Amino acid sequence: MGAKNALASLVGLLQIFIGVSAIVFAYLLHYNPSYLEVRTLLGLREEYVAFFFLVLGVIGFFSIISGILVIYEWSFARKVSYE
Amino acid sequence: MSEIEIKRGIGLSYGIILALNGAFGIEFFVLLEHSTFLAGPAVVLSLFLCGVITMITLFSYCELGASISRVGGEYTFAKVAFGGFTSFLTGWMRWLSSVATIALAAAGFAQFFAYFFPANASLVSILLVVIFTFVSVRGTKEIDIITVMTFILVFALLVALGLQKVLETGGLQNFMSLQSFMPKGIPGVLASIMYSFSMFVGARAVVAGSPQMRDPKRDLPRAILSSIAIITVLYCSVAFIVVSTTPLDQNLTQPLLTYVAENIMGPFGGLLMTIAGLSAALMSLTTTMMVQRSIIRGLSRDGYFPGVIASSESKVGRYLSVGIGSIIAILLSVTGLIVFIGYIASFASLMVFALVNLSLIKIRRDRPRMDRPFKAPLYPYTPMAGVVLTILLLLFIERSALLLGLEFIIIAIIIYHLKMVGYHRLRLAVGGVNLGISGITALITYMFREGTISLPVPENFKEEALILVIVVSLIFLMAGILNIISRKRKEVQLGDASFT
Repeated sequence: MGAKNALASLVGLLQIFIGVSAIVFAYLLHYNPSYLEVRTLLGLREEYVAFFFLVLGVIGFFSIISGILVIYEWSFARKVSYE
Repeated sequence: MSEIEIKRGIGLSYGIILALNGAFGIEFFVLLEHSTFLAGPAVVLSLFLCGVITMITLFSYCELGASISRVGGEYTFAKVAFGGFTSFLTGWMRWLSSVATIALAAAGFAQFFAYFFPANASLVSILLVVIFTFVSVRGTKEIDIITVMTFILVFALLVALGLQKVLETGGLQNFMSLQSFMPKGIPGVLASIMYSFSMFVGARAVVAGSPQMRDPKRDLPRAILSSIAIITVLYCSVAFIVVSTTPLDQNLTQPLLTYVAENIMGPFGGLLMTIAGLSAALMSLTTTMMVQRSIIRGLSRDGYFPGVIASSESKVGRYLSVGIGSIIAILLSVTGLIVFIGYIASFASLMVFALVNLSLIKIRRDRPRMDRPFKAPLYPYTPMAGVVLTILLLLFIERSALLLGLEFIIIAIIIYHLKMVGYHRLRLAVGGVNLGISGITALITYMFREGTISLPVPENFKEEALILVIVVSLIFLMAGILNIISRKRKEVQLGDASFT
């Protein structure tokens, strides 16, 4: 595996990790479980929760898709293209 | 879809076994309870009507299966009739129904398993799906005739001994007055039909095996119709025994059929039905894992998902083809909401039925001279009735299940349009958005550092938060560049002799 491929795999995995973390964080913000109290910890006002939930959710999903595309392109896609 | 050389060795009797094999799944064991709750003693009528509606649609399956004897089942029918999004939606819904059945089988297995060991139901479901994901990748043996015969014998024993009890105790009074026969009226019966639908649809499994039939033109319709007749009689008889011997207003702590069998045959009956339930769950898992795998591979082969999934040579592809469905099935099954999963399975099956009926109408109109060894009787009334009835039944689905089903349709629309956009353009777009996110994140970080804007970050973690955002910004920047630049590819001209 070349340096570029290794870098791509690393970046792809990090993006997937960021995506999953963003979605988990969005979930914690929205449901605010009593054992974590994320909203209180961040001092986040109630009216901003929906906005952050949406932004984190969209970025999270996008990040996962982008990470998968990077890994797929640099590790699995065929090396031959038919013109 | 590439043509595959197939050995034709299935006759009529094995065709019937194949159809029964598909139909004798976990659905009847786990869905009968709520179905009875919805319709009361009229569940017998609901199941009978379910059988009739299924048979109407299976006429369309027979005609299409006999004239388009190719791998792919419903997806191929819709592809021949409509192509494009409709065929993708048909494959997608068929896949969803398989995934919901896997979830149902896992949750049902956990329910029956509790008869022997009181283990955590969610954990049992997860373990079962994970084990079968690996088993399915490594390949499974064909389910044989003995399994089907065992099911018929267990149900026949329950019906025979139950009938004796009904006659002895005079349990027929439930059927005497209309009020006690349909406690929730016609809407209850219709809701029960909608809910019970997935108990019958498994018989279509034989259509997938039609390319291997010696004489599909003659045997496929016979196999489907015979199996539906057998299933309808058997299920209605069992439901009759259930409602005649069991008070319907009690909260059961064990599966309904186990309770009824114990009630009629004693502890041996409970044990027998539990083993049958466990076997049904395992059978459903084996079959639906293979079905969902072949559908997702077919869709990948046609370019809707990465080609690596369709490759039988790639190990990653083999695991991906089973793994995607398994993850969704695990998420559904750990909820333990059997009623909800049952509605999802029925929703997807009804959608497929409607699309298959529409495919028949379209193919008849567009290809009047096509070779049709079997013709759906009373055309166009049977497929039209199939479409109308399935849409009517969709009105009785639980709202949350309908919403999830609609979300899956939206996902289908997105996937289809992504395919239309093309892989290269998609990567360019994703790369561009990555660069945009990276730029905006960097700008926000700068403004936050300068005090122009405030963010909900605790004072103690400000520096750490800034470093984290900068790292995220850099990762998105690199991902953007990697998505935009392609790996060097060796280009092959179409005129190249080796390619042509």
